[in-house]
Formats: sequence, structure tokens, C-alpha cells
Amino acid sequence: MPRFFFDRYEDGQFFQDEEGVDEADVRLAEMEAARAAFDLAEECLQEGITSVKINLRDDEELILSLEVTSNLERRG
Amino acid sequence: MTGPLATALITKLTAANILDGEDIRAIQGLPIQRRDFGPQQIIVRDGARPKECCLIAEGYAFRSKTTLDGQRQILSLHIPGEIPDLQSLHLGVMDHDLTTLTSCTLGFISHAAVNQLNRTRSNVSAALWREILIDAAIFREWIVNVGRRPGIVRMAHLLAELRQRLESIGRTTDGAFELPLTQHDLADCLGLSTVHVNRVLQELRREGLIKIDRGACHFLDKVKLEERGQFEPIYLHQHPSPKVVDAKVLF
Repeated sequence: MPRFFFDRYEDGQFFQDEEGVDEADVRLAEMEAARAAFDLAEECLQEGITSVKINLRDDEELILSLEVTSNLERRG
Repeated sequence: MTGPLATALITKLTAANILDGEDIRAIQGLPIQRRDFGPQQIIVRDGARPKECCLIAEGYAFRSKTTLDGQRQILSLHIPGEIPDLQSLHLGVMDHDLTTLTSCTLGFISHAAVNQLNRTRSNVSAALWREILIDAAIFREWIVNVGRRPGIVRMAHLLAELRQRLESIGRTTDGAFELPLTQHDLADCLGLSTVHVNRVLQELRREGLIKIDRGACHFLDKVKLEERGQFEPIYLHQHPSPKVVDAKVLF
């Protein structure tokens, strides 16, 4: 199975995936990236982080970049 | 050779049940057939109709279900001394997969032999019944964990539970325990993405609560880790129940 890496940015702060994850194919890796972006965005918002970006790559190149942003407005 | 296999079961049962000498000898006399499995091998498949139960003597196993689009949910983790498919004694067909997580030494006991044991040893019958109920209590806790807790709390809770269960059967060393789960496995236990699992493990390390080194998990601050995981071990029911006088009706 090919290995994919899911680097992430939280409000621009970079976190490199050094281990990677084995996925059967690129389609499943893209699904995982999408799930991760939304999954993390929900939790990060509770910590005041409004932007989560996942960069999916294999050993050689960037495959997909997915960003989820939240617009948080409080009254008063 | 059933000795070491029966010992795993006796260790597990006596951790939370009161058994007398006759009960122990009856378990030691069970015909248990040893089979060795490699990691990630299916022991009993969803839909199978087993005629025997599987006792884990060494290694870890898990129960899981897989959705039609191929997404796996790990339902429970199992450690030495447990019989994860004991329910097959009365439920004829498996409704999930039982799979090894690591290399495992397994002992297979025919349903006929377990039924005979239940008929003749009421304490053992009650202990097995109690194990099934504790199994259900752990399922309830996992539902809360996966359904309602934030990612980092889910992870801390899972680690605290696993450590507590392993400690009760003497499988921790200086509080550290074997954690042979990949981030993929942990994600499937916790209903999180692997990226999220990676994040929460980093966070638990950053908070100085855990260290994972060569497959062993060390709690650097057990009290704080358990607080982080909202872990209250009461649902594991690890204190022995009173001796049963007559539990023949239970099985």
C-alpha cells in the first residue's frame, strides 16, 4: 500500500506529518484528508483556531490541498 | 497442553470474581486447543457460525464492523484472558469480525465444553456472565467516548482504560504497557481521522502526560491523564462480586 502524508496548518502554523499513513489508493487518501480537515476544524474552532489546511502528499509531490475556514463573529 | 492457556483465563476471572479451588481445577481441566495467529488475521468472521469460543492467551485482538464503503469501526479491544466471542455460545451467528491486532496465542474451547462447565460450576458460570456484563459496560463507555467527547479526551480515556485493564491482570511494567496500535487503529477505535489522532497524541505529549517509546506507553502523570480523559474506572467493575451460591439459572 502506498504511504501518504497529511501535513497541516492551523491558522498558518505548520505541522509536518513525519510518519504518514498507508492507504489503499489515492481516492481513500483524499477522503481521509477531507475528513481530517472538517474533523479538525470543528475541534480547532473551540480553541479559537479558525483556519485548518491539510496538504496531502506522497513521497514525491503534493496531491491535494484542502482548507476549511470558520467565520466567527461575536456580538458586543 | 491446556495449562498456560487456562492460566490466562484464571488470571482474568480471578481479578474480578471469587473462584474456589474446585472452580480453578474445573477451568484447568477444560479441553483447550491452542492455535497461533499472526497480526491482523481474522479469527472469526462476520456471519460465521462458530461452534467454539476463542480465549486470548497472549496478544491483543479487536472486534470491528466495516461499512459498505469500506470504513472500519473498531468496537472493542481485547487482552489476554478474555473470551471476546463468548456471546457466540448463545447467539448463533457472528455480527462482527474478531481479528488479531498482534501475533496471538489463542485457545479454542468448544461450546459443548463451556456449557458443561457452566452446568457444573455455578461460580464459573456467574463469573463468565459477569464478564459479558462488563463487556457491555465497556461498550456503553465507548459509545459516550466516540459520540460525545472531544478528540484529546477520547484518546486519554482509551489509554487510561487500557492501562487499567492490563494492570488488573499484571500486564504493566512500572505502569507502562504495550500499545501495539497504529495511528490508523487508534483512529478506528476513536472515530477520528488519523490526522486528528496524530494531533491529539502530540498534544498529550506536549502536556507532559504520556510518552510512547518503542510500542510502550508510559503515563508521565497518571492522575492528570485520567482527569484529561474524564476516566472513572467504576464501569470496569474490577472488584470481586460476592461468591454465588447457586447461579445455575444464569446460563
